[in-house]
Amino acid sequence: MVDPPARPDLLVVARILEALTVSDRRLKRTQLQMAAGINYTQLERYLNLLEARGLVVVSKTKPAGTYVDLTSAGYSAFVFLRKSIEEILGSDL
Amino acid sequence: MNRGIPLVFVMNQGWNPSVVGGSAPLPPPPPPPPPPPEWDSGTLFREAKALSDSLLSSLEESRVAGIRLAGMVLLALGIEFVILGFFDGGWIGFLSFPLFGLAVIAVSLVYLILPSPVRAFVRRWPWNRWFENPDRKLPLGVSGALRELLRGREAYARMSKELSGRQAAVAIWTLMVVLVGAIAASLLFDKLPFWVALPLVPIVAGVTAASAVFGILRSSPQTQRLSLGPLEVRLANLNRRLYFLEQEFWHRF
Repeated sequence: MVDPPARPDLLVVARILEALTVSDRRLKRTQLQMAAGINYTQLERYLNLLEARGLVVVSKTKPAGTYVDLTSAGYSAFVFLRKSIEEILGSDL
Repeated sequence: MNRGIPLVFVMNQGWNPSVVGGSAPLPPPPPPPPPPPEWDSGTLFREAKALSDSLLSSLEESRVAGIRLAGMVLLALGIEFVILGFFDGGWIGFLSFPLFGLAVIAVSLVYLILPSPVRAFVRRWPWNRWFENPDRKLPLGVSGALRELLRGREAYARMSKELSGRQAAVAIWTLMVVLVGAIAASLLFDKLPFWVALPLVPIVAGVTAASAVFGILRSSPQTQRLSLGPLEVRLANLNRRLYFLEQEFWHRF
């Protein structure tokens, strides 16, 4: 069991959430790692963090492997990120 | 006693109270959920990238202006060293001061006259390095946009450090210009006839005073902030908004 990151990087979280969102909210762990562009250990840490916060569900099945599902809370988190970025870009910077 | 509406099971419609008696119309089916938006369309990313690029290019211009300022101070110092060399007694002083002064002038002229090598030099700074790599895989969409915005925040952090360093450098160089200028003026009076030295002294004094005033003004923290002006305000706003975004995200989720 890998400990979650002490100071999580929002960019890594955004990558994971976005990869799951564009892939119908379900990916194998390896596919997610490739899509998010992060290494295995880092992915483990962040999955532990996101699962503890209820943003993803990691399910291990014997023949098929490990799947990661985006929960509705996870989808809401992604929508929140997108809206926040839109607000920043739309603001008077 | 209200027994409520009896439920009737209708094939393909489940338990539906509205069909009791067969006369009530069926409610319209709920609209299908909207299709997922085009997350990877790149629009958000392009907007963020344009913002980040604009901030970084303004920062680069400010940095080049700082290097030119350093060149001007070095130029004044070099002129003074040349004067010192010509009027100093020994051969070592005569040769070393002008050579050093000319070298300083040459370096400053490179900064002053040729902007392209300066820009090439500046572009090699670490936070611009990845930007020149054409092989990198840019994630588009939300995470790509977020990365672009974070790049602006990183530039803000580096700019703050750079301003402190620039203030210290300009202050030290200004002090040197004043000291060497004073020595050069006294040497002019010592080595030349009074009526020859008199018209030359205002020139040296003028260069020294202008350098000192300019250097002191530029080295003050407030002037440094003002010289960046709207750029710093924009970077600070971006920094603040990203900070609140992160705080809000971890608070909510």
